[in-house]
Amino acid sequence: MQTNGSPSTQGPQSVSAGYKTAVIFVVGALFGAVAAVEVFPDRGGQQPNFALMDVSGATNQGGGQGNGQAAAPAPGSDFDQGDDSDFTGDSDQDEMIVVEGGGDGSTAPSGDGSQQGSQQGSQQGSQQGSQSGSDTTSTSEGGQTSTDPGSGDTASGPSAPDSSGDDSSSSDDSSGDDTSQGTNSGSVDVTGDGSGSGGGSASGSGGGGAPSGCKPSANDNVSTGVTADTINVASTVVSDGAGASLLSSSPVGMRAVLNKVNRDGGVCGRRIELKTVNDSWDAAKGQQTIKRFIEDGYFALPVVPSSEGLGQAILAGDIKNAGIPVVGTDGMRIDQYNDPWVWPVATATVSTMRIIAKHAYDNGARTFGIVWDNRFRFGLEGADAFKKQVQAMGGTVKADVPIEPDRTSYGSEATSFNNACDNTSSGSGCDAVVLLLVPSTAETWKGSNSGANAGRGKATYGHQTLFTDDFATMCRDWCNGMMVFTGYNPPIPPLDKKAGVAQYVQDVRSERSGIDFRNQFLQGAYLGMQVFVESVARCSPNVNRACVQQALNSMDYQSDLASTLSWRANSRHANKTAQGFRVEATGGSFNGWQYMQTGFLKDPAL
Amino acid sequence: MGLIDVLVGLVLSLPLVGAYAILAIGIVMIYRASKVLNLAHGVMATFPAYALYTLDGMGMPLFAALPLAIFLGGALGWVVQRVFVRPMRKLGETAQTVGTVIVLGLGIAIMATIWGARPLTGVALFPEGYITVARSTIRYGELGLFATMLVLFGALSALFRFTDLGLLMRGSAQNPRAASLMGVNPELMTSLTWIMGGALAGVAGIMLAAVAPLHPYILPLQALPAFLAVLLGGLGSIVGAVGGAAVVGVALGMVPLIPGLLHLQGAPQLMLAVLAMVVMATRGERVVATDVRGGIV
Repeated sequence: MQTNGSPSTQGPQSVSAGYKTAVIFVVGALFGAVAAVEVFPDRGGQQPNFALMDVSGATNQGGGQGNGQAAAPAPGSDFDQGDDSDFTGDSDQDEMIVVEGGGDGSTAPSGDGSQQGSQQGSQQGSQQGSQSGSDTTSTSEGGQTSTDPGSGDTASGPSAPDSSGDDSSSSDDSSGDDTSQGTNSGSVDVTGDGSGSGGGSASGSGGGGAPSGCKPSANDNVSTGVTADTINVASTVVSDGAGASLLSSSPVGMRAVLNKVNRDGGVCGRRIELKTVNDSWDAAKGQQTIKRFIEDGYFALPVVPSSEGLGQAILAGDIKNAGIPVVGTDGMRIDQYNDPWVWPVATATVSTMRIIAKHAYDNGARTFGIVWDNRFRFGLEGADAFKKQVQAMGGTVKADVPIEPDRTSYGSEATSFNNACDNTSSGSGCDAVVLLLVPSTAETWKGSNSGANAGRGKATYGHQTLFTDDFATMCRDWCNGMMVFTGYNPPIPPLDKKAGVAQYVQDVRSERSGIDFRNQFLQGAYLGMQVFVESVARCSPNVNRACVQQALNSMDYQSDLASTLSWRANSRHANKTAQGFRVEATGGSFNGWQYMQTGFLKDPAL
Repeated sequence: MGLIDVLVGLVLSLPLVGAYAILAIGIVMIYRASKVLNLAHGVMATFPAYALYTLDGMGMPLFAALPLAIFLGGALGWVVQRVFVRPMRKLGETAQTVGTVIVLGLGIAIMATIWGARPLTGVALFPEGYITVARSTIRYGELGLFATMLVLFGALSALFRFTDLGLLMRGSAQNPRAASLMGVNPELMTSLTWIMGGALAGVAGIMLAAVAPLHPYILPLQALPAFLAVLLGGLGSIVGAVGGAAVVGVALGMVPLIPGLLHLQGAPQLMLAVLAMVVMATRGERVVATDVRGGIV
């Protein structure tokens, strides 16, 4: 007879009441915490500035900087009166930290604006002279391979970022592709005077490259995170959670550009080392990670697919106070457009929603419905912009249903929605319905609306978050005819014939062969990293934050992946347009996307 | 909000009730056997769903793949108990609970590595189709989830009440020393309970994956409301677990229909939090009594 004890050999009472109470408390507190987060989402105490989304353009209250007064449009700038930026893009926070020690640092003194300007002007001049009509990325065979950030963080010199190894890097490590084609089209045409305020333009589809004769030296004027042979950058990414369904592949796009650049010898002899940390699209966790990046001395934060944490960092002033460039973001939240150190490449969510509303209205819609994600800020902002645009045009929002992501069923919400839209088996009472959801939530919404016309409208639209093959494949017939808008040129006929678009597909597929290359956030990450590399290239070999800021504030970036992106000191809406694509799904399967021939439609408020 | 709206809300809540009840039953069974709250139950539910998805993709017929996937769920339960829970016994129940948290994190990471972070569509066990309820729809798979829960609840109740095995399991859980003196191996009973709990979790996960995104992060978290259901119904009672699941499921399903609460962000979670606090305040000590008085059913 076996008498070895089980956990409670002394009887049930041996399990302490204290343990049970603790368990109950923990679970109850967990739910309480979740509820508190949901009910009071803006933990920083700052409310989103919805005045910026006033479609009338009458108000331009202060954004994150709280200046309270809109800056006058700069002469020759290309944004309209409804501009919602108010900062002046000052560069007072440039660190100009000198890299010393280890033989890898420069001892250049910190410079003032004129010095930066003259350096930039000379750089631009030499670049123009040596690169006109040529590709920005040279081809290479072999060469350096991409470095796994988990092992490749350099720690030479005091300014190198601290790699304590306590972060889990979720990046992909790709070995060098010896067959890099480097078939970039376009040329670098850099103009600009010494002050760096001119309209410098750049184009290319493969990222920047080293200008002829550019070599790093000990006298370079560089910022923290830049060594003699590396430029250390970091980014938060989303590998799990609700956002993973559309954001988890973004690091692949980032690395596709970096691996190519590094194989070609880096930018002016400096490899770009990227460290990524997963924050699960959690705002608090993302903000803390970004703060750590800043403290660790990374040079810049390119792309940053995890918009929630970035948004918190922007609202808290972390980015502006540190003066760290954040280049190539996805435009999910409006705060990305209100910081002098952030340069989005994407069309803002609020812009896309206004474009959708106008497109629907122009096509006869007068009654509208919207289903939106109420956990993440993009849902709140996008829904608000949509509703205001509809009302401004004279339409009526009949159904306005926020839903929580990650639920198994939305029966009650579906009932509310379908009642409001008066959806029946014979038709929908809403002329146009928009789904402002992430793919996994949209899929569950579909499941709770299996009936004819349920959960949809006479015309159904989707935000860029739904522009993935994976979602369309899962959605199938339910999504047939859905119109999804994006601010890019996706690899869909006839746009896939563009050289830059084809190159993008080739590059990301070389990183991961089965990747959903039509995922627009992947494409945006690729483009965003290209822009970052270009900005660094323009400043090389004196890679410092002030120069990058000036370069970006005067850049007109031409690419096959999007319309021309133009940033200015007082305008961050470089991409103000979106175009529509229709889901073709019949017979129980997804048949592909069809270009609606809309062209790039402009945000009516910008 | 009229009577019709209440009835509609109740019907629309059935899928949630079914899902949480199956998960809660498994949690209760495991707790009764080991006095450990298995926080890895969501992972134990998700892994078999992925296994079935893979087996189906390999061409295995459903009649073979389904039992195999459920068996894998049971096997996972055994592994968790033997590797992460039992060795921590000397350190106490809290340490054992922490062990299940390790399984939770490890399991999510492994599943994400193997199957990726893209949501998949699980294998459908019921025909495609739906019934219409007040301009919403309930899919056959969701109804099947609720029906399966009822069948399992009935079967387990019968097992524990009317069979020798059930009697052995109840006795071993209630008084392991006495059971061992009667020739029953309490360790074996504990392991068997974990296997059954894992299999139950697998059933829940497989059925949930057919109606919700199969995702390494999303699906395991569906077990979170099930823990609250267990607390509401009592840690030691399957009947209580089902009752608690009904409360939780209806709360989550009904709240959006209440005028004014649809646009209140976090309203369902707030309601559940208040409910949890009420439970803490009113029956925290009575949870112990439930363990003493009640059997596993």
